[in-house]
Amino acid sequence: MCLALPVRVVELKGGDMAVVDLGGVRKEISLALVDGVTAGDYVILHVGYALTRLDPAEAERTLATFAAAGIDAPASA
Amino acid sequence: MSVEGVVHLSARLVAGRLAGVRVGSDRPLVAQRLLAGRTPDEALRLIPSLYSVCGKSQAVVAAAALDAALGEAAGPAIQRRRERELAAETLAEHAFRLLLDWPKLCGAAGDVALLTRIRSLLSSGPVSEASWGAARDALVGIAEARLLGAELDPWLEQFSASEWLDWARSGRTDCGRTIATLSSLPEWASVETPPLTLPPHSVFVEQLARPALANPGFAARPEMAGLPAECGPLARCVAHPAVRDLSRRDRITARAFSRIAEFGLVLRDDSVAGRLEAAPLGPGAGAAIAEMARGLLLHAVRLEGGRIADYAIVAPTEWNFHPEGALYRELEGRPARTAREARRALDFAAATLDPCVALDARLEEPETVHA
Repeated sequence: MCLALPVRVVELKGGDMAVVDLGGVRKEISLALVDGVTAGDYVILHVGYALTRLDPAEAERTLATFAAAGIDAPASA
Repeated sequence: MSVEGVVHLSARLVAGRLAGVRVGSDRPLVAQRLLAGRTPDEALRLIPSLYSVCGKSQAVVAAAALDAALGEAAGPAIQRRRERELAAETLAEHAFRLLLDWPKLCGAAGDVALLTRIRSLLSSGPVSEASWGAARDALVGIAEARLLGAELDPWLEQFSASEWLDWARSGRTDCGRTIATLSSLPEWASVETPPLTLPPHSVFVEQLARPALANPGFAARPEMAGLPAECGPLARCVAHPAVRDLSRRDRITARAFSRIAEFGLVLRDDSVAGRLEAAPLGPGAGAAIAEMARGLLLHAVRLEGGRIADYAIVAPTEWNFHPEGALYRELEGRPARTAREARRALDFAAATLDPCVALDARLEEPETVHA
């Protein structure tokens, strides 16, 4: 039941890899399980793999919901 | 509070056995905080976006619980659609463990391409009975060719642990090799945790749903009749003769095999996984319970003036990672000849119980004994 934290893709790398921004910390993740991700998109992560691609508006709404409930969402907006 | 929770596990190796096992979780249980004050429609729009690995199951169980609270009952077609969604997500999660998480834990690469293909079949499969049948047929082919290296039905019809263990150790498929590694620790019959599967209606209402709504602490540390219980694939498959045989010998091994057995049983529509029930709990209150990938998922809700006043979610991770529950019992006293073997026991026991968040497992130095 882990909460779905949207994280922003800041850079695409070769071999289905990408870099996301987790509250200022950059982390390399795999995009092998999702199609069509570009820099600036948000994804939902699980154990280093992007599970779902979100459009930025949807991601912002989710982040705002977490923030309003007092839950820190460390991804940069 | 952080959005990312972690299950913490620690133990020491003392005189050839694991001791001082501690299981804890700081997973945020925030359903009340996120949903109170919203209308049922707002909650239903929000819930699928809140949960990452089980969003469809959460959405389906929420919809059934809110139906019950509103005094509505879903018709058979909606019920069936919801159960297909639960079964599909169960298969997708099992595939994730079998093809990616567990191989990586065992030092192999995993098979991302095959996992992607399976997830794709399952994402559109539940839409109709026809598409669900087609997806299951395709998945039976994949299971036979890629996971088992054998026909599904004869594989499922094994009666003893030794036949399945021989299959895994034969190395016929990557999946078999992974399960062989997970089954490679010295056998140990741990103290059994009572299995919990979809309970009778009165138990669901009186011992799970009402306590979940009345007691905010229940969701963090759920118990059945005052005791921890184990839910999930092993609990659901324990009537299978080979699973029962394995569970008497070693429950880490039994849980590993239960995952792949249940993958096949769901494809054959021969599993309680995917079942969903709902019940009203009095005026404006209702609950729903389902068998999803990791075990029992319960939602209970009370409405006031058309808005959510109380909302509780009790998820499988809280049953199986209870401080005195299945993981604790699996490990406390378990023999381990070396620190490496002890460390593997921690990792394999947790992975086969499958927390829905990250695991922080530590093998601590034995305490110095002073004279």
